[in-house]
Amino acid sequence: MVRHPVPPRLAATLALAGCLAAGPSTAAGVAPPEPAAALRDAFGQAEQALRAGEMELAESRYRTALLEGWLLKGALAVAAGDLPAARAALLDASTAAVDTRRALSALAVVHLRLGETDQAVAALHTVSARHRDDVATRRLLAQALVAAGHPEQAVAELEEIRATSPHDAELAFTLASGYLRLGRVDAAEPLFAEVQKARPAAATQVLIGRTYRDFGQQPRARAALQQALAMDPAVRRAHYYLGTLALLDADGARLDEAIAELRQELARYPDDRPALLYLGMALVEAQRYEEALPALLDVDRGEHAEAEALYYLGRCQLALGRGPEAAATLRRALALVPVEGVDPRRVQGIEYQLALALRRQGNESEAAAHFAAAAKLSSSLAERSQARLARYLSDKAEPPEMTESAQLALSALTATSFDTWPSPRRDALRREVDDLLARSYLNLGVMQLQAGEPARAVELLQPAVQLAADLAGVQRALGVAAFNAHQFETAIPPLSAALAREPQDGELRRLLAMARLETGAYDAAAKLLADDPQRAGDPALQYAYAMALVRSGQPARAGDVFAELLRDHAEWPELHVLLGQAHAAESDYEAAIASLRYALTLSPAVAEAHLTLGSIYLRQGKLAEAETELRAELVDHADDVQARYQLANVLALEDKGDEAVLLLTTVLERSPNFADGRYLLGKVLLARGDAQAAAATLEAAAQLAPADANVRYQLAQAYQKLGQTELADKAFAAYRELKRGSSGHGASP
Amino acid sequence: MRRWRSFVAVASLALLAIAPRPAPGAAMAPPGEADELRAAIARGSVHALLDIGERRAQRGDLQGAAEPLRRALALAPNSERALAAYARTAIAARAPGSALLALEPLARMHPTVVDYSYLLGVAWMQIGDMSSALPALEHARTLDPNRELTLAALGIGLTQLKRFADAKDVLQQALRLQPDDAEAIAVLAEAEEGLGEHAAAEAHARRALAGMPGHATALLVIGLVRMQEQRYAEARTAFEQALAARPDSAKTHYQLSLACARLGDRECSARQVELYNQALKAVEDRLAAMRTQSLEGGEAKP
Repeated sequence: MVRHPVPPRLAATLALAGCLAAGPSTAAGVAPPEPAAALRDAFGQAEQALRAGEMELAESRYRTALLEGWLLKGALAVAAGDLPAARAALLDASTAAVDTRRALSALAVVHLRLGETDQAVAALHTVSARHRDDVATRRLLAQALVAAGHPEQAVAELEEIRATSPHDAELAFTLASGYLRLGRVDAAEPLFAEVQKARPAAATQVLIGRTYRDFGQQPRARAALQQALAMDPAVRRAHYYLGTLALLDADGARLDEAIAELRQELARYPDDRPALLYLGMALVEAQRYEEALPALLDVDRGEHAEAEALYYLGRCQLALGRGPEAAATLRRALALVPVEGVDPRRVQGIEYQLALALRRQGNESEAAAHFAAAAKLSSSLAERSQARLARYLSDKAEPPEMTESAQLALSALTATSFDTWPSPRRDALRREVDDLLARSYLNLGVMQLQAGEPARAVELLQPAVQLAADLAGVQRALGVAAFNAHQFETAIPPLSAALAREPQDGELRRLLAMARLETGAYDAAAKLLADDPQRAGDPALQYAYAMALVRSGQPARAGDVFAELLRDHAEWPELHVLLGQAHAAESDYEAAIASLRYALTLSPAVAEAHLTLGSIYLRQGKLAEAETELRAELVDHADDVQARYQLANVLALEDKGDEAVLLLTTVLERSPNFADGRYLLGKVLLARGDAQAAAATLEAAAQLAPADANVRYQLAQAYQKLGQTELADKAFAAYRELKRGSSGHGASP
Repeated sequence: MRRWRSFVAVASLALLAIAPRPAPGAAMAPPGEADELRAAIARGSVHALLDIGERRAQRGDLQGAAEPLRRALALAPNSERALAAYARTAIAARAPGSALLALEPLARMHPTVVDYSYLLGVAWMQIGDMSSALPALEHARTLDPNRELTLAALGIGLTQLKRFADAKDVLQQALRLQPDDAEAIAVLAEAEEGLGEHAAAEAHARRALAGMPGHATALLVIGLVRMQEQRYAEARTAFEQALAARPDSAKTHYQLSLACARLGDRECSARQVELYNQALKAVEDRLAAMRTQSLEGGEAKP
């Protein structure tokens, strides 16, 4: 579970504590509706519409189900403290249906809690523009604007809302905070007085005191906190904030006063972890180590302790002569540095204390390394110990307490509070939501498939598979949709999964075979088609099987299939091309050329006939003939990557580098991951003396085909020409290493 | 979706120039259609309502199409077909504000459909908000980089935002795909004029006028070039002709006010300044109204 702290500058905007927060509104004595009720209802209506043949109505209701489902998933993620998951779910909710209000409002709160203030403002601007009468959203917008560093805009927004809602206490409080941020203390004071009048509780005074403290109004803060204690000596956090005020004093921390205040807070609320931590820190600064140790150990025993808490604990342990424990604690602090992104000044302190602890243990060598690390962080970063504590306090966000507006925005996700739900119940709900979401996506996807939009079906079926991979029919639907959309790579995993569930399904097997064929996995395609009972009666399947056999280097096995095909389809030009390719694979060039020429007499524009002829002539070293054939292929199939590549190959051999480079550039524009193309381009560029461009191209080729020895060889040559001998040596070594195992482009690199 | 594609071919860039037009002359409703509509309403059949609405829109009865489409949308607010039919009819009725209400959710819920993003951008342009139009058009361009309609619309938007060099680039790309698009040629002329390339601007404006006589943008460009040449009387004539084709063009009113001022016609100048301000206010009012509207509001029960 990932918990995200509220960033410091946001703390004040999310400060309106329980004394003002109404929370999710449910009438007393009335149980909230089942959280999945809206989702189930929408899904049920969609199914009913589908049965009635009302496709548009069904689609609309399925989309409502998506909205409700993603909102619920967002709520579950918020309850689990997994804010990134909540953000993802709410983003999906915001694109599921026409209605965006609930999704965007809740998303804004999640953005705020993740410190993504600009996104929060954008989301809230959209909602508040459409719903000007929604005071809670506009108030939240103002809070977001403050957090995003636009207090003037926030105040303007708040002043406008206040004109329509003059008795809204939270609004008054937020506006007062905005005035304080702008340094307009005089404007803030009467508003705080209004808030206090509207909510005359000690807790309200604590909140006001804390807000004054956050904006550096220390005397006002102290007065408000003392008034709170006068109203209720047991009020929570008053002593705590007074303690932090003493620590934050501009003239230096008043440690004894802070310790006394924090002890009073802890006397009533012994589990207040921040109070315990600050007490421990203050006691360390006061060099009262024996008293500090139990407090800091308590902090360490609780939730995950931060680096700063561990630093103080380590320092305390060191001062008490517990060197090994101190070293272990400070090592833990150091390990948290990259995780927490700790300020370098604090890191320097941790390094220094750890070095001292290690030296005390006699571990001079390791101590020296940490002294050096501390020194490297620059002595200018060092600061007085008490200044460190004060800065930590001012940088540190207080525990988040959400505003009423924020709570309302989140409560719109569901009226249910999942906090009280046991884990198995939450899991069951999560499973139900995933299932209904997946079913909705599945049916929406199938509707797109039926409408002849397979690519759009894929977009809907992919989340269905992600949500419920075992849902009946979902893998098959995605596989079919992706296949029909010619997204063969995408089609393979779901088709494989579907076939694993239904191994006797011939249609699935054939689709998978074709997808394998299209993606160049000829051997796998051949295996899938080998025992297909429908193959014998289906020439297209036979042809595919023959192609798979030829291209997977099994031309001999293809012979029988060809014989059968030729018996019934002697005038099929593509078949003769394939037969020619089979002959060529067996180096029977005479037979290959005869088949290919025959194919061309049957159909002068048949694909791959000229290409194959060109490839044969290239292998035979007949460059002029090869060039003619390859150019002929491009007349009718200008986009054929292989024909362009082979022609470039021939041109390079004919010393026509300019045209070769041009051709290869167009090939790579279309197929940027074509490793052979990159290799050839690099080789040509190198031959033309452009070593710099050659090296860049060959580096890309090496990334695409790391096991190709010849790429390394050419790369080494390029580096050599550039005078980069170290890189050249490395590339040569890689070439030799690969050559020992296997090789890439034949004998001549 | 195929129906939508055929519609897009009709929704050419000519729509970008909003001009008041008389109510479309609707063909006679076939007998029994009113009963059919009543039955569809009674059954709560979205499918039947959409069939009727689309049929009426196709024969030009946009007003008659509105009722079944609104009812369909109330019952099935998230239906792609219902939203698309609503947007399509609104565009045909020269009501870009209403079209936007449907196009915004369409483009958001179906982000890979290029038509929705394109039409959303065009609708924003028709309203007069080029800044909102550009992201939608850029998205449409990402989905299909070689779509002339999108490129031309993007060129218009960029020109309006005075990003003339970017506009010229995009418009030249559009014209490589469709060399005879008079709208794109005229806007290219406007971009060139903005870049100070007066000769090229005039040449392109003339070419646009040859393809589409009386084209407002081309005439505006001719006027601007004449202003540069201090031939104010000819400029005035060109601006007046441009306004005859597009009376709500704030830029043309402003330029005409300058031409009149140079010619010493203060009354004309003052009137044009007033019309210029009115045109700007009309855009602002449309935008302000648009920002507060949406189709959100839940579903009606069938």
